[in-house]
Amino acid sequence: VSRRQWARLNPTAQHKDPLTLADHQKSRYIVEPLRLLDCCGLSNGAVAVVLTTHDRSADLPSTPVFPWGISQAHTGYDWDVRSNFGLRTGAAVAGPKAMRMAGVTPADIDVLELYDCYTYTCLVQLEDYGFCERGEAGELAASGALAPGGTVPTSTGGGQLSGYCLWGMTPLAEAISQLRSEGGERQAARHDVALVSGNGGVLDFHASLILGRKPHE
Amino acid sequence: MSDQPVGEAAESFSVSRDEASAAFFDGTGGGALMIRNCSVCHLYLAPHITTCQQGHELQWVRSKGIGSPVSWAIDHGPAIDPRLADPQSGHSVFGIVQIEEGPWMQVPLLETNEASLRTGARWRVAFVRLGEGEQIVVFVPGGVHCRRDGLANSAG
Repeated sequence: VSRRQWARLNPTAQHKDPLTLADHQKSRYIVEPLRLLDCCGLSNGAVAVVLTTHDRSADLPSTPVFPWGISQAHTGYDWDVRSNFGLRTGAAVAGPKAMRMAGVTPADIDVLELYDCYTYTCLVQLEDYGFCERGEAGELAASGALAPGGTVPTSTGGGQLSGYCLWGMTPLAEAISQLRSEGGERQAARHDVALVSGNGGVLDFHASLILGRKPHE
Repeated sequence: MSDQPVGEAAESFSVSRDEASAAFFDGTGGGALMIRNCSVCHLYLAPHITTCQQGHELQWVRSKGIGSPVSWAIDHGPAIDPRLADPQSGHSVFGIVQIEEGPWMQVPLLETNEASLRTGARWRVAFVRLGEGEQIVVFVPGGVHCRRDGLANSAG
């Protein structure tokens, strides 16, 4: 529901019809407990990202943004009673490392662009990254904190669930738009630092990227 | 434990063995659930685990074939094989079962009902041959309550 609120402010979003929790509950099951509106769609589209040096970026027509921290974690899971499968992802390892490299904490993140292939993957990442305590992500989402005007602006283009689904490029492109102040109606008030996440496999692989509007000091 | 297949052949989907899975499917073909065992660490491991975390060699051993669901999902889409679907609803249930020796198995759950589809319920292994392929492992309700404190991951 929060993502749909963001998507309605995004001219390039695919799904802009108003959405309520009741609409979600009425949508059909795909694989129970996940309903249709818990799953991202498919999109045709393209995103290009140009990587260059700080010096060269000064002469380019587009406003550059700057990587502050990056990390990956491919943690694997025990396949028995010791397993954290489904409860803890590589974000719990990659996130703190990337934030340490960037010199920031969750409180310093202005916009959070999560890889949200399902509603559940957003919730578990909020906990893994430390935006709430374990088991409290649902309450955080229900509070409206992730929506426009909330304290944790998340997937500000509508994410993959409501915006468009170009896999890892969806959160990356939106983070760049926000840091460049190109968000239009959906521009977050604070947009100096963004966290971008990427998932792969069945929660097997994870990447975290911290981007800044200015070069890292 | 049932040694008898609970389904007939289906032509649309089948499972083939490779070198790594040959011993496992030799077991299912004979009505046995084979799992891995590290005799040094006294650990039982899921069939797809190929190495002990300490680097010890693993052996294939026969599981008792008893377990309890840890988690499950209900696929409301077309079944990959009608043998794996509920005959009334057409839905297929897939779950993680913790077998008594400790490892988790990702398996189809058949003959599910409200009473059996819960953590702590006792389930048992069964086998289904899909098409011309190998017999695969499924779990079916076992009928009596499973003692959670009996679920250990030690062979000792």
